[in-house]
Amino acid sequence: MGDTPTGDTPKGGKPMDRMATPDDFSDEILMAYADGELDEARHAAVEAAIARDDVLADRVAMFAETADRAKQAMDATLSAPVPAQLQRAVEGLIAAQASGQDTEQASADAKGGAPADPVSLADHRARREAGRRDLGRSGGWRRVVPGAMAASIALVIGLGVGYGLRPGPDSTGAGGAGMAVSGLTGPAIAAALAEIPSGAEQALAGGRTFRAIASFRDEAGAVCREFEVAGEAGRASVNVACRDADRWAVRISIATAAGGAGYAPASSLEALDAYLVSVGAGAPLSAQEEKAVLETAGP
Amino acid sequence: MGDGFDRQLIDFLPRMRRFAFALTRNVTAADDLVQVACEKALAGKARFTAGTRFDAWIFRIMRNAWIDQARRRKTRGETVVLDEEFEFPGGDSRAETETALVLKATLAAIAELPDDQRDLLILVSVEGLSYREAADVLDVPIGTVMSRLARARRKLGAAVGIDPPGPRSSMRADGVQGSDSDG
Repeated sequence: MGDTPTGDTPKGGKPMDRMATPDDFSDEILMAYADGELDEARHAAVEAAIARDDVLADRVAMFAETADRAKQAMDATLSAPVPAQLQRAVEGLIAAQASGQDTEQASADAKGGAPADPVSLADHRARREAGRRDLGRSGGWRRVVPGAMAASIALVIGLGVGYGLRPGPDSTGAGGAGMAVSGLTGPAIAAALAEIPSGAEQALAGGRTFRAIASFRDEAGAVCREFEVAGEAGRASVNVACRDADRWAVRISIATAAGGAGYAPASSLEALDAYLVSVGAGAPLSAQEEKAVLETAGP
Repeated sequence: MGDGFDRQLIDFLPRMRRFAFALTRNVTAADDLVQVACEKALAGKARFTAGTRFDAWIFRIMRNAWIDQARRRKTRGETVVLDEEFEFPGGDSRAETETALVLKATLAAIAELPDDQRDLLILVSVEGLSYREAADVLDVPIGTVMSRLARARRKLGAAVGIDPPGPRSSMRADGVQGSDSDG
């Protein structure tokens, strides 16, 4: 009992006492014992061995204790609240999925193929790709992303107010701050939103470029537009603005710190997709439909 | 299915974030990943087999989505900047009690682990998956699970001062590890 000749065991290092131990068990086996992973026979063998060998018992205890510690420490982190934005987005996905289940879901199931998009994201994505081709880009958006920007995606969501067609007395400070983040202030963008057809682009002051990607209606029927603003000091953003009365309010702006000819990384487009799902975005409007709805709100 | 599945998903968000953060080491990327995984999980709802482990199923979706994103980034030559402080959200307790300090030290040690070891430690020791289930989530042989996990536990044990296995009769009572004066 505990009589293994281990006087020459190095201190603190990896266990080297194994060879001198009559009951030779690998760390993996002892760990599996501590984790309750061994079959009955091997479990019994280890149990008998640790009863007569303190060194083995210590090694098992180490594996048991590290698991306990890890669980305790990591469980303490579970109290971190889920960001309201994430919670809402997932609830939006659930809601969209529930309502779209009979259509997209069913067809995808029938094909036994890829997971269905709850909302017709495929249409939105196609429109995005098409928009880029119209603009003379070679290859898809998702394939021309330069490096080193995915890291710094700033997500500004729910700006809601403060982005008027014309600066109005009710432009709130909060909205202004949000706009400042994404650099979307000014009547020029509002005008572009009201006039530029999807697939076209327009130069803005300061070397920026506005690109209209698509128009659609959200769940509540509001007219919304997906657009990009690129070129301000190497920054680019993908955005959605919706029309409320005669005002365009930016609902989401995903900014990417793009270097030079930067494009939104896939992860920001995934965030955008998730957003579209969460607001129940309808299919992109056709060119005619878009023209019609934009004209109806003429000044 | 239906409501039960959806509620389960919502309830599971804190644990998804925890695993996502372990995978991504970046808070923004982690929440991004959680959302993408939720979308995939909802779309693939019909493929979830009732009676099997929901958590293992989700973890696998998350892990695959992460690998997928990483692969796309790699082909583009993108790099991901890791959060400077690898601090699990919620793990930054300001309390200075002994327990809090032990938790903190443990989290710091977990943060130091190589990615593949940390993933396993979380899946098995924290989330309670079996070796087999963890092997399936990560697409590695069970032998790899065991050797990686054992390495992770030895490192964690050494880092938080759980005495490395050694003879009972050593100088442990002095509590002075690393001192050579007892030679």
